[in-house]
Amino acid sequence: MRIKDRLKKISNNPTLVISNNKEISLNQILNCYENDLSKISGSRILICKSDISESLSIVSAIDGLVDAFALISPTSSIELISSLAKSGNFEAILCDDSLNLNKVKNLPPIFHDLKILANSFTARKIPNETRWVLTTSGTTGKPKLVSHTLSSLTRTTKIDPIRGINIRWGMLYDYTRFAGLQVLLQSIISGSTLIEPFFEYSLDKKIKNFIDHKCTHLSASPTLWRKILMTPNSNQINLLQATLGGEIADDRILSAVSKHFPQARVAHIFASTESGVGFSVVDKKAGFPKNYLKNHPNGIDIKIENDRLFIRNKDVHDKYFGSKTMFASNDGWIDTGDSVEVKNDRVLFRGREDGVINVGGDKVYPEEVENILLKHPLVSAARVYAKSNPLTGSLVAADVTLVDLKTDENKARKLLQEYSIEMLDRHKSLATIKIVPRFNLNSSGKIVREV
Amino acid sequence: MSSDQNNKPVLFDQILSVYRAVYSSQNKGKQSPEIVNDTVLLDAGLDSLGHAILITRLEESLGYDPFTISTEAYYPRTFGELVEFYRTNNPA
Repeated sequence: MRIKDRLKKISNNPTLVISNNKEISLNQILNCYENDLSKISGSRILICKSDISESLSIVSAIDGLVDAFALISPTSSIELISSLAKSGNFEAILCDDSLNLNKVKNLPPIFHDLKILANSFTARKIPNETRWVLTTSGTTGKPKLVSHTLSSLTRTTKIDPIRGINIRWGMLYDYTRFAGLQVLLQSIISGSTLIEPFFEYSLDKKIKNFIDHKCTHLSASPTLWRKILMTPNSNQINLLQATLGGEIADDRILSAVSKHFPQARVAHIFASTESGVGFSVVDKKAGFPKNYLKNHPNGIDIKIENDRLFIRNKDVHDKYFGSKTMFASNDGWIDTGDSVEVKNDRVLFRGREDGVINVGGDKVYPEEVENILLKHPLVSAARVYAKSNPLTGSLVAADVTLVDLKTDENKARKLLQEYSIEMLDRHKSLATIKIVPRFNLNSSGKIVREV
Repeated sequence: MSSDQNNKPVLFDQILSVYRAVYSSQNKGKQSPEIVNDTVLLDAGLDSLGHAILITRLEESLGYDPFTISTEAYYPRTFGELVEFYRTNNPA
């Protein structure tokens, strides 16, 4: 079923979006493009629009007609948009007037208006189901394209139009990314209202906007939730649902959110752009029940192999869009890269199997920081690892041996800390440095890395 | 009681001095704005990464981390609340 057909089932023309304090009704979304857009059938369109309701109108008009459309963040660089357009074989770019792509070479035709775009095409076969293409976070390299369908994206969406009308979702994510699109679809398909404050607003102002518009449901990463809890007046949002996702949710943040919003159902979800929504946990405890390994929550298969979590979701593709690169095994298992431990009846997340450090949602490769440290004349060897932190989950820490053991340790620590701030992105810089006399080496002479 | 009261300004100043150093390191050498008890942490110019680093530095300087000691899941909003959280969870 197309998104338009889903929206048509909603009665009473509710306000679907409050974008920057402007109210947009369901009918405004549905009736935005009444013209015949059939020429666009079978095409591949890349959409890069900042206005959420404009995008929603476009997507409602083209879902079910085009072969595929990609939602690309308006904050993306021109280079990235150009490379994604190429890798996904998109035939046209539909973007904001303000986005200046005209001077970029080898791009498909650029349009700002859907009707003009549609008229420039010749109709081809209408697909069985339009592919919705999203980008991965790109924190571990260049963002890649992953395709879903409306049915795979809304597989776990709870639709209850009677309750839905009273629900008001607050948007804190970029709507073009997997987590943001989940919030957007959950909200509109249930006929709820999506509150989207100005993107540039501070968190404080966004919270005020949520209070003013009587937000009831909110989804954010644990790092963002910690910031919400530290923001005065945030407890004035009368939350009925608080969803945590994107990073490991520990007992502390789950308990703090529950206490701050006593009326709220608190859920933490496991999902990724590639695997789609995995599963959610609502008992306010870290990790997930061990019986999920047998009970297939939401029809998802979960297994643990060598302390690593694998997920199989039959509704998603196994290759990146426009590429032959597979992210799943031949039998559909996706390696999440998460290191897990079974403790009694609970599966607990222990960090990343590849040693990647998650600093408030941003990934850090220890090797990159080690290589920078080793370039400093004071350093003879270095081991970089995660130090747990109540606000960002982790920070970057290092054990270092000095070339000259007589060097003043306090002075060395200060110099190396300053050096790391100068040489690395802020989240990769060293929060703490321990000077050690020597390292344990393994049989191949490498520093033993503890995960 | 009296020792608690005596500790109050000392702890405030200790935390403030670490705060100023972290602020400066995170803001290209700039001096921190005036900090009082009612200063809202997230409004004073340190973001959550800055505050995360502050907690690590305070652990190095004071020798304890109240966030791991406290059984209560609590996130202070103002500088005064932060100092109070360190005072009430001092294991010494």
